[in-house]
Amino acid sequence: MAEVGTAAIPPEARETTEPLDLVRLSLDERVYVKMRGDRELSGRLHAYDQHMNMVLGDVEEIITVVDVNEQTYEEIVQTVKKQHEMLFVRGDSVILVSPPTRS
Amino acid sequence: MANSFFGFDTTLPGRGDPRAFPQSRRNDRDTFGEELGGALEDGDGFEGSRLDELMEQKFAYGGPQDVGLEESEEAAGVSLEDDNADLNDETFGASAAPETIGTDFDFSANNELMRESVPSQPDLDRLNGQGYRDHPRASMSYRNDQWDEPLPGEMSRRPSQLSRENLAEIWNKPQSASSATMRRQPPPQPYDNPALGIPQRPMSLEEIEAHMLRNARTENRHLEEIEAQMMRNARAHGQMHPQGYGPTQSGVDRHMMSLAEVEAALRAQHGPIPPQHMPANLHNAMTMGGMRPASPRGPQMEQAGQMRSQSPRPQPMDQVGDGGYQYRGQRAPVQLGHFFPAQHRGQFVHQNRQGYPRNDYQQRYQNDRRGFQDRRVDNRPREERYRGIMNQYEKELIAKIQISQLVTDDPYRDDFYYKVYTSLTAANQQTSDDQSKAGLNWQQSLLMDQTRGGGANVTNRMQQQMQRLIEGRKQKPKGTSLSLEGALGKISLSSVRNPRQLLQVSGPNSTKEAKDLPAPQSARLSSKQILKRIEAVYSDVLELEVLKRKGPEEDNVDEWNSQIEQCRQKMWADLGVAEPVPLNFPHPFAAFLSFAKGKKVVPRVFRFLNRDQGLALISTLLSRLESIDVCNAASSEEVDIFMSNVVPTVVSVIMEVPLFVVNACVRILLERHNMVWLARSKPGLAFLTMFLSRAEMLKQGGGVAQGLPPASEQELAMWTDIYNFLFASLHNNFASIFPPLGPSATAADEVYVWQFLAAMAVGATTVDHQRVLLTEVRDKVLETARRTDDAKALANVNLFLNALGLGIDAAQLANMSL
Repeated sequence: MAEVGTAAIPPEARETTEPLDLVRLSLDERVYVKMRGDRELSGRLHAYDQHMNMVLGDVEEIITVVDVNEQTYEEIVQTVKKQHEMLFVRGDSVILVSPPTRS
Repeated sequence: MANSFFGFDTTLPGRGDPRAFPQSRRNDRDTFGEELGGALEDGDGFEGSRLDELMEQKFAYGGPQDVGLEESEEAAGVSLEDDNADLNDETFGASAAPETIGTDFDFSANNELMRESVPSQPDLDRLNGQGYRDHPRASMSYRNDQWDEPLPGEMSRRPSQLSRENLAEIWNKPQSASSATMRRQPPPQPYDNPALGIPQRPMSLEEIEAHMLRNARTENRHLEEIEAQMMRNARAHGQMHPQGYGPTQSGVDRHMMSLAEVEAALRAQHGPIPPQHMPANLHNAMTMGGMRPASPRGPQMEQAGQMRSQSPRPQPMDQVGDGGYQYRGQRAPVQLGHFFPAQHRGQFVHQNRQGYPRNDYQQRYQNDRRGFQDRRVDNRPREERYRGIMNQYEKELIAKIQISQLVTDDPYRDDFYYKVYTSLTAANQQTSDDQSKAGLNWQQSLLMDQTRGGGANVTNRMQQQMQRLIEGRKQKPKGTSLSLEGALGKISLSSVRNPRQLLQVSGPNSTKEAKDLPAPQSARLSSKQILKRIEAVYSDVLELEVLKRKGPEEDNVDEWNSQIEQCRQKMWADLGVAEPVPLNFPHPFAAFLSFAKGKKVVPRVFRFLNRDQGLALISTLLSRLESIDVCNAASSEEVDIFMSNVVPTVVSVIMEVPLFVVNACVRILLERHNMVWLARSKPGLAFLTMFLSRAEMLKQGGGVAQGLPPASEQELAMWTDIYNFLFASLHNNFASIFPPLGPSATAADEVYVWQFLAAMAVGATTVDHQRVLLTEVRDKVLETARRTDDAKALANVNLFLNALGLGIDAAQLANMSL
C-alpha cells in the first residue's frame, strides 16, 4: 500500500518502533505464522509476548510432509490441514509472523 | 725507614698504637686538640655516630702534627692508619731520594696560569671531586709553597702530591679526554707558549710570589685576561666555547670562577653562547677534572653570591640573566673565585664536606682565612655543624617531594602486604583494649581501617589532601560545552560522562519532529499508521484501566488523580478527535473504526471521556459515517462488531442528552449524508432509531427524570422540522430499507428495521406520516404478518403496528387482508 503521507503523520503515530511493535499492530488481526517442522498457521492473533508465544484463535494449521518413495526415490509433497478454535503456540518454534498473504 | 718517592718514612703508626694515643692526648690541650681528643675519647669502638668524624680524620691530610703547632716530630702521622703505602717503592721508585728531587717543578708554567684559582691537591683528593674551593688563591699559593719547599718531614706526609702533579698534567692537556691517559702523558706545552701572554718558564718561588702579588692587586684585570686567554685557547683548539668551563684547558682552575661572573664577562665580550655545547663540555670537564657534576647547587650559588657581594669586585650582576642557559640546574660545582687580598695568600680554605654554614659569616670568614695549616677538625655537634645549610623553603620542598612519593591513594592496595603485616603483628603484640585488634583477623581489621577516619600525622593528612584533590578533580565539571565569543554555536567537550557520539544515526523521531504538519493534510493514513494509532489508544486505555483498578495509594490521592488526568489527555490526543479536520480529508478516528480493534476500543475509551469529549466523539463519528466501513456494505462480522460495540456506547450517551443535542446530531446526519443511503446501512438506521426514540422520550417529558429541563418550544419546533425533513427524504423509500432477504435471512435480521419503522411511526407528527409509512411498507407488513409460524416476525410487525397506534395486531391484520 501506498504510504504517501509519511511526513504528515502526527507524532503519536510515529513512536519508536521495535520489531515486536509490528507484531503488536497485528493484534486481533489475521496473521500467518510459519513454524519449524514445516508447519504454517493462519489465525487471528489474540496475544503474544517477547518470546513469540502466541495465542491464536480460529486457526488453520498446515503441515507439509515429504514422502520419499523407496523404490523410485520420488518425492511426494503432501500437506495436512488441521483446524483449531484456540491455540497456544510456544515461541521458540516460531519462525515468522506476517499479515496473511493477500490472495 | 722505608723509602718513598719523596724520601721520607711513609710507615704510619697503627690506630691502636699506644705511642699515638698518649701523644694525641697530650695534644688535647692545643687549639684543636680537644676536638681530636674528644673524638678519640668517645670510645674504643667505631660507633656509627663517630664514623663521620673518624673518616674525616683519616682522610684529613695529616693530623694536628701537620699544622705546625705540633712540637714534637714524633707525633708525625700519629693518627694516620695504614695508607697503603706498602707499594710506594714500587710505584714511585725506591731510588728517589729527597736530594735528587729538583725544585724546578713548573714544567708548564702552570703557576702563571693558575695563580688565580687552584684547588689544593689534598682537598681535591680528599673530597674526591666536590671541588669546592673558597680560596683558590690560597690553595695555589700553598701549592706553590709545596712545590718550592718540600720539607722532608712534610713530604713524608703528603703522598698525594704525586697526584697533584698528575693533576697539573691533566690540566695542561686540553685535548685529552680520558683521565687515564692524562696521567701518563707528559705536559704537552713546553715553556713559553707564545699563545699565552705570560711567561711560562719555570719560576722560582720568589718569582711566583711576586707575580701573585702583582696579580692580587689587579684581580679584575686578570680575570678578564684569563677569560680572554681561555677564549683564545678555546678558539685555538676549535672546541667548545670558553665560558670559564673550558675543561681541558690549562684553565681548569677557571672552574673556580662563579658561573655568573663568567657569564657576565663573556657576555661583555661575546654574544650569547649556544648553551647546548655547555652541558656536554661541562660533564667532560668534570669527569676529567675528577670533579663530579653535582645536582643543583643552589646553596653554592647563593653562597657565591654572598661572597661575591662582599668581595671588592664589582661584577655587573644584571648581566647574569637567564639568557637561556639551560644547564643552570646541572651547573658544575664550581666555586666562586674568592679573591682575597694578598695577605690571604698563604692560607688554605678548609672546606667542610657539606659546605659552609651560611648564616655564620664570622665563622666562615675565619674558616676562609685559615689555611691548610690552620685546619681544624670540626667536632661540634652535628646539628650545629650542618645548621643553616638549607632554608625553610628548601626543606619543605624536599619534604613535600618525599612525602608525595610516600602518599598513596589507597594504601590498602598499594601497600597491602605492609598493612596486613602490621595489623597482624600489632594484633600479636597488643594486649591493650583501646587499640586492640586481637581477635580480628586481618580482613576484619582491614575493613575497620577502611571505614575509620584519617589519622593525625602528616602522611595521613597529605593522603587526605590528595584524596580531596582527586575527588575535586573528578567532580569539577569543566563544562560539557565550550562556546567561544563571536562563534556561532557551542563546541561540546566530550568526557566520560558525555561521550562524543561517533556515529550519527537518526532515529525515526529525531530529525523530523520539528516539522509537524497538520495531521491529515497531505494524504490518507496508511493502515499501518492507523494501526499504530489504535495501539497507542489501547496502551492508554490499558494504563487507565490499571490505574483505576489499583486505586490511589494511601496518601497520594492527588498524584493518582493527576496520573489519571495525564493518561486521559494522552488518550484523547491519541484518538485524534481533538483536532478539527477538514471535511474533505479522512479523519483518523473514522479510520479507527474501520478496524475491528478500533471498534472494540470505543466503549472502553468512552468510560474515561467526559461528556463533552464523548459528544465530540459522537459528532465526529456521525459526520464521518460515510467513511466507516460498516456503512458501506462491509462484512456482517464487522457490522456486528460495530453494532455490539459502538452503537450501544453511543446510545448510552445519547440517552442522557437534552433535546437540543439530539437536534444537533440529527442535523449533522441530515446535512452530511444521504438519508436513503444511510437508511440502507444498519448502523445508520440504528442511529436514526436512537435519535428518534430519544426525541420522543424528551417530548414526552422523559428528560425531567434525568434532571434536564423540559424541552422548550424551540427545541420541539426544531425537532418537528427535523422529523419532517427526515421523513421527506425517506419518502417513497421506506420499503427499500429492508435488508435484502437472502436464503438465510431470519426475522432477527429485520428487527432493527422494524424498530426504526416503529420509531418513525411514534414520532410521526401528522397523520399523514403514519399513512404514508403504512402505505409504503404495507406489503412487507402483510407478508410478515402472514408468517405466523415465526413468532419473531409477528413480534416485529406487532411492534410496528402498535407504534402506529392503530390498535390492531398482526393477527388481526392478517385476517383483515385476507
